Amino acid sequence: MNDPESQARDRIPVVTGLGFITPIGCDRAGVVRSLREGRHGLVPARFFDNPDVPVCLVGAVPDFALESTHPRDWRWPERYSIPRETLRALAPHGVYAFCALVQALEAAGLGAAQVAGDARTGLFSASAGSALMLHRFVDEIRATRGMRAHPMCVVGSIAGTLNFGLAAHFGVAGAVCGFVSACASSSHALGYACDEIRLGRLDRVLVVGAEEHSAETVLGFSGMRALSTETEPRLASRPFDAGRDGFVGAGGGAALIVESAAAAQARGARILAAIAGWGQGADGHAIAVSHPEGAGLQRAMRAALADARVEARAVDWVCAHATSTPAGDRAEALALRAVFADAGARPVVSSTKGLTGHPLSLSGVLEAAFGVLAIDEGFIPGNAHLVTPDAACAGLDLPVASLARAPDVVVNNSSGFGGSNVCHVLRRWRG
Amino acid sequence: MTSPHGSSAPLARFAPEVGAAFERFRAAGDRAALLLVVTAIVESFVPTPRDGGPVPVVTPEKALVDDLGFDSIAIAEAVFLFEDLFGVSIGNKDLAGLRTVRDLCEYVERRAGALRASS
Repeated sequence: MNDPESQARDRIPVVTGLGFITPIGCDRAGVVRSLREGRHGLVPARFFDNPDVPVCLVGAVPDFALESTHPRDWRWPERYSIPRETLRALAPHGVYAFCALVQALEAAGLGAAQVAGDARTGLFSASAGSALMLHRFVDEIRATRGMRAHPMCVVGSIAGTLNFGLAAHFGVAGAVCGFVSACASSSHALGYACDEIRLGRLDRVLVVGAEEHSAETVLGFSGMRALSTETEPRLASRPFDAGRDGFVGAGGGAALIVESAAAAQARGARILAAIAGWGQGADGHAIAVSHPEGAGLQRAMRAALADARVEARAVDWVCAHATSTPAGDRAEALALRAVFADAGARPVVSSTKGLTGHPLSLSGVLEAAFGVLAIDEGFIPGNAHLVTPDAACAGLDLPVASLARAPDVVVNNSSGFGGSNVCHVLRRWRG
Repeated sequence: MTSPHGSSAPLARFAPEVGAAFERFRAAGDRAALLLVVTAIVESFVPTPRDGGPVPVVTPEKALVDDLGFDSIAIAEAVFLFEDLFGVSIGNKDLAGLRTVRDLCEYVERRAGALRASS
């Protein structure tokens, strides 16, 4: 059984659990309904109670109240029990992530005792840290001219905060690592989780992404003119539409339980989908804006397809990164045409961000989870709010409504600042 | 900013009787009131036992680390609140000598009393 082929089969990364705390639903059933029916989660934003702020919408998470900078004020659904000593070091997005992870572990049939202290289980996470909490803590340091620094200043706010609280609470003993590549961050977390499993270094990785939709997180993008100024959700977040004018910021958390096929089978877990491969490629072009033809994204997709040994023609659905920005969507459309149309392939292409808004570094793992849902539930989400496709999309199959069609192979794209691009290939598990 | 007289603002998230006890201590140095305040604060930081056992009851003799299970960050959190509340600054050297709930009460009484006398 130790020949290289059977070893590679045993180490195929598979997904056994999903957790969702999102603007379009806080459990699997709610998310599936929203994706199938095209229900968005964008709500009016009132930043600083200032009606003049030109950003009018956010993708907010229902049933959570995390606006305060004091954890003792926070409220979340009662079914999640977060002890104070865990809560104290969480930023608001850590609460989303905690709940998503609890959900994913339950869905995977994993008890706390199977995870805690297990040297073969790791935690890979991604968030940008908490601008809200960092600002609160740094304000205190400045106001006291260096005499007062809150004990949670570092662990409760910096990029990496997501790891600290979750790793301690769940007793993660295998590997703990955070990823920072802006809006590609959690896609990197998932990709490297797969590598650790394929290399035989870990049997299981809890992959978690989360973001906040606070003014402190979202409005920085307004300064870059990257946010939509529309007041109507159907006009504000409309990836690939010719009239798009920027993205809608969103918050939430998502978790994927990734295991080696052998580990999942050994404990009788239901396998939802396999991650057949992944790849990455950089633009080498600019700080923020994508390469005009998506050169790095093309490289990422080609690398992922090669890694997965999947032909472009075999891809059923591309879960696009498209956030509804003029330059980003155009670059991705051109990259998709180069990789697929030029190979004679015409997969369904859609972006779920018309429904969710753009949850920044959370989007990669969230949309990978959507890909798993599509395979497991047998449908393909549509392009919500798309009316007139941009001319750059010529030849792409961009349905508006969801399709009752079961995809076997799903490609998931992510792109982040610095020209960072990541692509995953998910495949139906056939045992 | 901290003031030499302290401020009850850090107790905003505690039961009203804790704030009232703090005012009694501040006004008249009421020792029983101080014990009530210190106990409530310590209780609010007691970690959940890892073995799933009951949360230990806070009494004056209990040691924060050995009996109540405080870790270094929980101590830093509690101290941060004491500093805000009583308007004192607790250095690392002083902190090392504060083992029990009673130690905390006596320390606060000494420091806050000195501040009252000097103000």
